[in-house]
Amino acid sequence: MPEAKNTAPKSESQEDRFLKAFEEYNDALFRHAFLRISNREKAIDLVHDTYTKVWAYLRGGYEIENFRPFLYKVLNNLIIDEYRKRKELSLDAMLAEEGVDEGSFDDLQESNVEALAATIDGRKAFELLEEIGEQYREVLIYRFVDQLGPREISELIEESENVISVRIHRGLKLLRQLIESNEELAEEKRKHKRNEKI
Amino acid sequence: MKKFSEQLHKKSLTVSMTKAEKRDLKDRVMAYMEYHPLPNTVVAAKPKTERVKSESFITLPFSYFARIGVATAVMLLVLVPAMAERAVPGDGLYAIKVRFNEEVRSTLALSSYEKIEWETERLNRRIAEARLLASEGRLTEDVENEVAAAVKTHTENAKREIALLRNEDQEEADLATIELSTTLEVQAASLQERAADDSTATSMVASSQVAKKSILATAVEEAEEAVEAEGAAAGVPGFDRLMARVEANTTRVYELLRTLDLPETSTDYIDILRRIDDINRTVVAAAEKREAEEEGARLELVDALQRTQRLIVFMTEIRTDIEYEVDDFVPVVLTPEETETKLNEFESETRNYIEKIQSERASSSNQQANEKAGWSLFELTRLEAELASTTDIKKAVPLFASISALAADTIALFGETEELTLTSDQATSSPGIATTTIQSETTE
Repeated sequence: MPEAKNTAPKSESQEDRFLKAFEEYNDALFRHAFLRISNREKAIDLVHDTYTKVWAYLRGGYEIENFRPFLYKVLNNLIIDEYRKRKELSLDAMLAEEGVDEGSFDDLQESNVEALAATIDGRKAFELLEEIGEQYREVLIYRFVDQLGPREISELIEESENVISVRIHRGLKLLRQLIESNEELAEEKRKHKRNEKI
Repeated sequence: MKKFSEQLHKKSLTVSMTKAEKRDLKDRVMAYMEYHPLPNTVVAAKPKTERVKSESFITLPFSYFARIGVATAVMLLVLVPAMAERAVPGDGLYAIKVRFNEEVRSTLALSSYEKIEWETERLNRRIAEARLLASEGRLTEDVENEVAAAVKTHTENAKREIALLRNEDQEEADLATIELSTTLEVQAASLQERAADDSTATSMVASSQVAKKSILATAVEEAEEAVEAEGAAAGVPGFDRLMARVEANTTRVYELLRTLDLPETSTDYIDILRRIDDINRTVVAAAEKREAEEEGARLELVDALQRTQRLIVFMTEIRTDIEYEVDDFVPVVLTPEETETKLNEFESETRNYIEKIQSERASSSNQQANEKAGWSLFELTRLEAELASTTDIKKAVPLFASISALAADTIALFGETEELTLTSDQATSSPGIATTTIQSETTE
């Protein structure tokens, strides 16, 4: 992410580019924030804070080459702050406690991820995002809602690409399990109703 | 995976802000940008909207009126009051100075102490104006009566504030009384001295001036007596409060000295610095004395405070008048070494007088003179013994004055007064000799 001090002031073009970035990404950022924290008003506030922080950064004389990852990075930090406010236990401590390992060979294979995803209904998975842990939900949202690549996600949340791939794989597995268990539950209910009718 | 990704992404697009939420967010971000603009922002100039001139039958030059209005307001509220500050009684702007400028400033003094300070300042201003008019020969009886009335009013105001302050803070009221009383004392002394000087004039004009000046001198003297009477009833403030006020006043004196920008070799500079040294010495002595005798230490600090106040009034109000010197209001306080030297000098000169008279008596054939000289010698020897037994300069000064006067009278009996080498102001029989240069070392 370019963060060099701007020696030649390009304030006018920066302002235009900032406004363009606002128009282009405000909705995507809101969506991301809302899916992460499940609070509409708070999500709008976080998007607002993201833009004002980026603007303040520009006022400091810095130049931003690519707004998209920068905006996501700032928003991610704000979301982590929000989690910390909500939970007594910090997110870092929580992650450390859960101990995400680098995963097995299967988890790291992109082809395996694709194969796994092919077995899941995306619409159902979306409805169940809230049900899985934050560390998996985070990467799945980045990957499938914001459509960022594993490398971009790894830069954003400062983890290795391997860790990102593992989390995506495990997140998908969890979603599939949830879908399957939901389907089993629904099937049992259906059977139960059919039996009742008989 | 593509299918999964598409399905999930498509579903996620259902989550979005409403139009109102988007508009609100944009407004908030824009407002932030507006109030926190980028540095050196080159904002593209907005195209000017073409003004359509209204065609009317009567054109009123509102902008012209507005400019005239602003100029008049500046004139009335800034320039005129600034010019009025230099006005003296009889000038056209004097009423603005006294009834507008000073009254406005009065409202800015919030605490009782600030009000007392301001009333004292106003009192000083009135006397300074009278002094200026007198120096220009423009002090009429009416004006002097007016100034005398103003002095009375400001003194009354200050006294009333002191009474109010006394209910809240007794010690602060005592300090204010000391400072007001000292200020009036200095002003009264300066006016009396001027009146006394003028009384020696012989012309009719000068005589009438004496009579006029005495009105103001009397008014200030009365004010001083009234405040002093209250001061006598008041107590002595605590040591710490006194010390703090002396320090504040000493700082003010240093500031005034710096403002005057006098050459370091000038008499004024040396004289004022000497008084500051005297005050500092008194403060150190009081601090040392505190444990053994707190009451005495406090009285010493009161003396120091009065001297700082006299010095301030002299430097701000009187110094420009060449008729006065700092010694007229703040006499030098001798150091222990200087006191010892002075006492030795007195003793030595007394011995010289006695020897001279003895010598004259031995060579003279005038029996009557010899008889009187015999009595004088007896008295001088007694006074010499008394002088030798004292270490207090306050007692030594009048004693030596008596010795000098008696010696001069006795030597005169032999008709040789011209040959006697006496110090300038000692060869007189009038009392109170040299009291202006050597004053009490401590307040007792």
